Amino acid sequence: MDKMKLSQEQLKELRYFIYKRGFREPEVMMEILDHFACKVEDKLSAKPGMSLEEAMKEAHNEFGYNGFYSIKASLDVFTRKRYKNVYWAQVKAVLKNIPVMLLLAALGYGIYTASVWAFVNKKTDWMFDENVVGISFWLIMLIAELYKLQRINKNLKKSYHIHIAKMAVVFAPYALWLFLPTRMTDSPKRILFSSLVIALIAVWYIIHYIASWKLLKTAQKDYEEFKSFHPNENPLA
Amino acid sequence: MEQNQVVKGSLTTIIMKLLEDNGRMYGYEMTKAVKEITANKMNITEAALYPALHKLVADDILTTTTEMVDGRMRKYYTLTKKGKKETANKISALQEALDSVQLILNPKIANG
Repeated sequence: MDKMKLSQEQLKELRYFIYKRGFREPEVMMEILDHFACKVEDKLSAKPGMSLEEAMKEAHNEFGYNGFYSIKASLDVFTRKRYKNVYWAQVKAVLKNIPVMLLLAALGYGIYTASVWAFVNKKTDWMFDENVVGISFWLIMLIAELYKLQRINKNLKKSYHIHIAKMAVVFAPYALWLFLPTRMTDSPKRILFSSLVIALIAVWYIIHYIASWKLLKTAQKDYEEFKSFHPNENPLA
Repeated sequence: MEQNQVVKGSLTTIIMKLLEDNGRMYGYEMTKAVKEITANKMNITEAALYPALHKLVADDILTTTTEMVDGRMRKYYTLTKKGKKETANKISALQEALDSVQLILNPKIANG
């Protein structure tokens, strides 16, 4: 028995069938389409009189109670897991890199010393009246994040891979920013503690920044590989 | 239905064994291969297959390559270096488990 092959017009029907069920990201659509198309082709080969509509319905029913959702859900979960692995592998790589760690330790010590100096000498910013070193680092982090966002251009922002990559590091140090201990104090213990926390957050943020770049590059590579097969943004095209 | 529960527990080993024997395969090809090898006695559902495949990729056991076939993108799965090493362990663990079950189901044969 010769196996029947779907035409481009029929594949369009299949794409629309998947799209109608809420699977609209081109990456997710493509993950489902080949398996679905193989099933439909087998049905049409087995029963040549069968309509495409019937074959699609039967094939869809065979995907079980959740239909295509199980494929999308697992793609989301495990793409996120893969990206998390990339992120943590990069964090480990930085931690194992002795020259980089020595540089970071020196930087951390510099920030710590500068912060102690700012607390002792009451060097505050003009707006919030807080430790100028801490608040400066807060601003640097903000600018670095805005720069990262700006580098992810408009097309990439819509990418499934970039979206999942961003979700993978959503725990990133943003919460720590809010608790950056920059409020002025006279207590020597508090000065040392606050300066230590500022230095540690600064060092951690730099490690995070390096790892998140690597992660975004991986996601961008995945997206570009996908785009080389599917240059059109329209999932139905 | 009962058989599917047994399959679920050993699905990753089945996938790895299929890839060890065939080099690279795509999702639908795996479901068909299992059906053919077991003469339709075993059926891998999509709801079980894809989470298993995606997990194996995330764990660096499998890697994927994409090709355009018949006007659509097809993802082929292949064992990584780590995956090749793991396959032998997984198969022997499953074999041992099956032997143990055999001992329980057929104690007379097992005792000689």
